[in-house]
Amino acid sequence: MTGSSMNQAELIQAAANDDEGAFSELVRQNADAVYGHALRFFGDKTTAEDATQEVFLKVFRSLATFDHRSGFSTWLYRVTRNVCLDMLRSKARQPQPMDPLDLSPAPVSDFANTVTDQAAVEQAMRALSPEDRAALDAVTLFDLSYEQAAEVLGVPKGTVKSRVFRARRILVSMLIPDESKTGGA
Amino acid sequence: MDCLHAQQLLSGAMDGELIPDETLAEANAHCADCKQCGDFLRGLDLLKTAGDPQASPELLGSIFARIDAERGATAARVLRLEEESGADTSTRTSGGRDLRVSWWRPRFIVFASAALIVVAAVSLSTIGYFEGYRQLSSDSVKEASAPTDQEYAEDRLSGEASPTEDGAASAVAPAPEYTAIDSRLYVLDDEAAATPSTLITVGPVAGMSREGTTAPVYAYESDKADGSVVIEEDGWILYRPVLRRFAGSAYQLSTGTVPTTTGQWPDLPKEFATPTEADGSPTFRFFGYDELGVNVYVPVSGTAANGFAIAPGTSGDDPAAGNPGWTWWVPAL
Repeated sequence: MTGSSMNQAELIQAAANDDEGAFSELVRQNADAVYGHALRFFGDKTTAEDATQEVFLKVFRSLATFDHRSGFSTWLYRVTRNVCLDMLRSKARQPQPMDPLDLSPAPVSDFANTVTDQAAVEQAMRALSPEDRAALDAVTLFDLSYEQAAEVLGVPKGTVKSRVFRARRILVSMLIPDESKTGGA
Repeated sequence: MDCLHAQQLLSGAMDGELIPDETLAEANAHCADCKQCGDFLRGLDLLKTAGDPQASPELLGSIFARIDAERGATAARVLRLEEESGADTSTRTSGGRDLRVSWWRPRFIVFASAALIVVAAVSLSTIGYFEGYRQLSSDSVKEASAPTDQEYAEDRLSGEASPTEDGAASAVAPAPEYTAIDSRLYVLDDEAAATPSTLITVGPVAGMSREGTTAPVYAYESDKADGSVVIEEDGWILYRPVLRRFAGSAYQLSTGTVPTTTGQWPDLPKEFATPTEADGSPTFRFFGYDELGVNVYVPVSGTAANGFAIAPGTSGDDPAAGNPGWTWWVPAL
């Protein structure tokens, strides 16, 4: 059985048993989420790439200890957060300053231009508070439920839900400005 | 339906919240009539279609290269340790600590102490019973004395349960103030720790719940960058991970049985039967030495990549000194 034809539980088990193909597949399936969180955390591509490598190295070393009591995505999100925070604490890496006043994402008018849209979304992400962004990443990048995100973040489920909602409202307000307030066309 | 409620429903639906069809239809209908909510809906669509950041092929290549290097380094370490350990892996004749010495010495000390206590007790009762008789036979003292080092070592290595071991077991000291999070053990470090600057959850603390409830007690990352955690219990209490170093990496003490209270020693994960022999067999085989020179054992057909075992009776400077059973150590996070 190849890594890509296994379900997630089989893939994790095979990867934990040192199946190189399975581990590679696990990396491919989860690299975007890890990188996405690190990029939003640091606001810097190079640091985010370093963090992503560090996360998968830790996963490689620790996968055998993953006990399936929490979901793999929950565990991976926890490892990712810890790596980012460790790198931050080491003082070697600092998140790029985030001042919403400095941000001027281009309002989106053409939904077909995905590249531009994504750049605008990522720029708007930097206006979010770290707490709101962490909740949004847990739910959207790592596909955690509100309950799972609450477990990792150590807050009640309702708090996760309201943080995600607040994050989306901020993003939408930046991406689709209220023309009636700005007086735009 | 008001705007806030409609938008909350749409956001929740996007995250897989179960919302009745008619309620969702009502929210969508509201958005069709309300420009502000219509914009919100457009924004949600945009967030969905814009996609998330993607790891580049170059990044994936770098990750695979680092994993390959790690695999190579692990294999090289295994090879080197196996070469160093030689054919006879049950004992080591040079360049390291002899298994038998490290195994029996702490046990012998415990045994000898217990034997002295027994002798003293027997002596006192004998003296009390036979009033006036104060001359003890030197033979009776000899019978109650501890076996020689060699005898005890032979008992242990033959796998026979020594009668003294039962006596020693009852005298086993309680474990340090361990607490477990996801099977990993932490030990009490500071009962008046600083409040953490951020509340980042590490996980629920095994066997602990909020007073009068079943709500778990969570451990949070401390502000130290050493893997320590803090638990709120009438103030913040700091626990540090129980670590040992092997082949350049840190490994953390883990347990198979989740402790229900403090003072419990860890045991092996369920998949490992307790070895019956001092050399770790039939479960483990000798593998090498950690950075304190303590013998490291791995599963018979495995390596140390996923963890390793340490035999009971490690000495006083060991991170798990005094442990009465085999312990299992996993790569530190």
